[in-house]
Amino acid sequence: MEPQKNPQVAVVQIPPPRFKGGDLSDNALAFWLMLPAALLLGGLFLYPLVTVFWSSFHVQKLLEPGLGEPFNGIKNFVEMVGDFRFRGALWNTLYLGVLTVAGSFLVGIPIALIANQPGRFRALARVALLLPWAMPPVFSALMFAWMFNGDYGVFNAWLTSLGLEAKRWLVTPSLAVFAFCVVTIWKTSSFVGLLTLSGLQGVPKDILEAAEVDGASKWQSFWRVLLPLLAPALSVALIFRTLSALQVFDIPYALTSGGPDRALETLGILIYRTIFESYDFGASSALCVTLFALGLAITFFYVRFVRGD
Amino acid sequence: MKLKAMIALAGLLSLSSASAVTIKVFMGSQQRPEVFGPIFAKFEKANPDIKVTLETGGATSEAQNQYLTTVLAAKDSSLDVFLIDVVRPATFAAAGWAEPLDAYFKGAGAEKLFLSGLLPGTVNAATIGGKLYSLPAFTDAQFLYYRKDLLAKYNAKVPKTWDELVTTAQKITKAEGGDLQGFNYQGAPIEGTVCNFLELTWSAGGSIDKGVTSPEAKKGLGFLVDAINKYNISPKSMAESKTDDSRKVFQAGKVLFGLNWSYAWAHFQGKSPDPTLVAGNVGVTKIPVFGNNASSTCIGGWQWAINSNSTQKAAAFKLIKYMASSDAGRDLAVNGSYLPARKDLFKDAAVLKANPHFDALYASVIKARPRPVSANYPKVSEIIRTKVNAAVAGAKSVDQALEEMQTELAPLLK
Repeated sequence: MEPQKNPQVAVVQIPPPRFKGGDLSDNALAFWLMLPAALLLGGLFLYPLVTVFWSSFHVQKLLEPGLGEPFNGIKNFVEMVGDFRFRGALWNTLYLGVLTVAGSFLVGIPIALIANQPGRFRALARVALLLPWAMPPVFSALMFAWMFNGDYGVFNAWLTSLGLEAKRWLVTPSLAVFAFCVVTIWKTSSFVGLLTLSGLQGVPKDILEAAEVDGASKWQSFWRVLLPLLAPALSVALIFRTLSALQVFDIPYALTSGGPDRALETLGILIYRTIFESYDFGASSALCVTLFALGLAITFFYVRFVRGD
Repeated sequence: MKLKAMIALAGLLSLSSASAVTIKVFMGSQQRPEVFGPIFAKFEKANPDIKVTLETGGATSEAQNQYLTTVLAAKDSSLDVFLIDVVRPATFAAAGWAEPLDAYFKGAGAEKLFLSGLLPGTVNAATIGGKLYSLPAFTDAQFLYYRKDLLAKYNAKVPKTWDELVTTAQKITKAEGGDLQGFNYQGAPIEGTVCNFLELTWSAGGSIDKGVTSPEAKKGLGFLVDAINKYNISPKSMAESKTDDSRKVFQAGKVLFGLNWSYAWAHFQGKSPDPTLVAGNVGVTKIPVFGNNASSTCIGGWQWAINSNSTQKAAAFKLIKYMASSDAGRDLAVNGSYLPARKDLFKDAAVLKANPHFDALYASVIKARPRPVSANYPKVSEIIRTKVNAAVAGAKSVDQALEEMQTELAPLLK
């Protein structure tokens, strides 16, 4: 066998990069690489945020252009606190938030537990987890609005077929609150469920088996072993759910436009109305800043609480 | 030689672009631009120096308003003329978005003469602080629709008062049985509900300028509530009833008397995506009254206004003045069944041939009244519809609803 000749390999000469970036220090390179993202975030997040803060301390009424835009101190906030619509919306936002966040955990965690068990309900539970989560909120709200409709709704059809009196769900304040909770819990339990499921899949089996061997009942092993292990996942879910509950706009607006008699008027809806019905940017910015501060405070409290745990 | 020709051509081009003005018009897509298009073309033909381009958008009055608000608050001059809901001129005037039109009428008495041909309600809605801010494109109003066949069957008359309406409705619904509604109106928290409340209050001889806790307002709202609970002529579903729901139920033959806007007529006669069971059996008349008071209805319709930042206001005015003329109004009525804003068109042969029922509507529209003319109208409307709805739904008593309405309206209607 003839010894193989050295094959002629064409050596490609790689020219030194002409781009000056090659000479940059690491810091400078990092700066240039982050610049586009920073500009984008600054433009889309920081600029509006600063503008809202600025507006909240200024007069900005589109319907009274003669006033100009003078500095207004904390007057926008003082007027806000004095307005019964604000106090009503704040109360609605908080108590509806407590109801729907608690509800989404009470429904979401069991669904996640079922979805994690091998068994016949697993597939069903996984669909239940994904379907409401994947639907747009406005679509969900309008769908339920039809189901709760007094004349043509399926819920009243069930009631009357059972011989009960049909209810005016969406025009009776207390029933509208109930309807809102049903829609919101249906829609948001998936989110809690998905995060719980991902937490469950990270729980080592041997710990649960060890608990079983040690004679822990199912309830004990859930309460004492599983739940503490799920705490990080659950706290993330809690923070996100609380923040989205505070900002809620789409579901109550699509369901009843915040009614009946403002039973579902949340801060989000009041902000929208102050801009698009009263054209008062100063007042609505004060509301936005208040909502922002509320969200920040609650997040801070949760993070402290979770860390301290 | 070639160069000379090019220079000449360039000169010609610049000359023609200097003399032709382009007016950009914005209107909602639900206002049927296809009916307006030929009228703009007619105007262009008569005014070769003005070109009209059309921009459409926003399926609802609110969506269009949000778009216009954004454009106008930015002092954008790209739109010259826009079509706005009859409740909006006060807002546009207060914000300085709409140009006052009085100075554009040339010659002594020209404005008075032009406006005297229009229905007074359309002019009142556009007059803020003594200045005119818009001209009507077409008008609308609420009327009482009734079933001619049922009234004939029971030998009943068209009611002139609410008392007569109750008696007739009770008699006929009792005899007919089934799910026939004696009286249908709008009670959901929507604009139509604001109008129904105002109409009832007006027909009791009241006005909400004096506040809403007057005996007349109590009588008005009280009637809407009593119709459900006391007279049993309206179903409980009135609290969820929106304008188009009212139209559909009537069209399905389930209503004896119903309040609705002029658009319902064409649907009832069969020009509708829904089947009609009442074609040929529908009559339309003035809204009834309490006692001897004068009947009045709520004015609707849309108006043309000029962007105060437009650079071509004179040409823009020429356009909207034409759009508010009998010539344009006739085309809209004949081709689109739009209710004319000009008085003479209610006696116009071509208009009546296409819309025979307009004749019966004139007595109402001539007395049609605007909803509160307020810069903050959206908020005024939200308060009225929320509280009326609460009373109709039975969540609040009539007195309580009106007292809350009064407290909230007071700072807005001073």
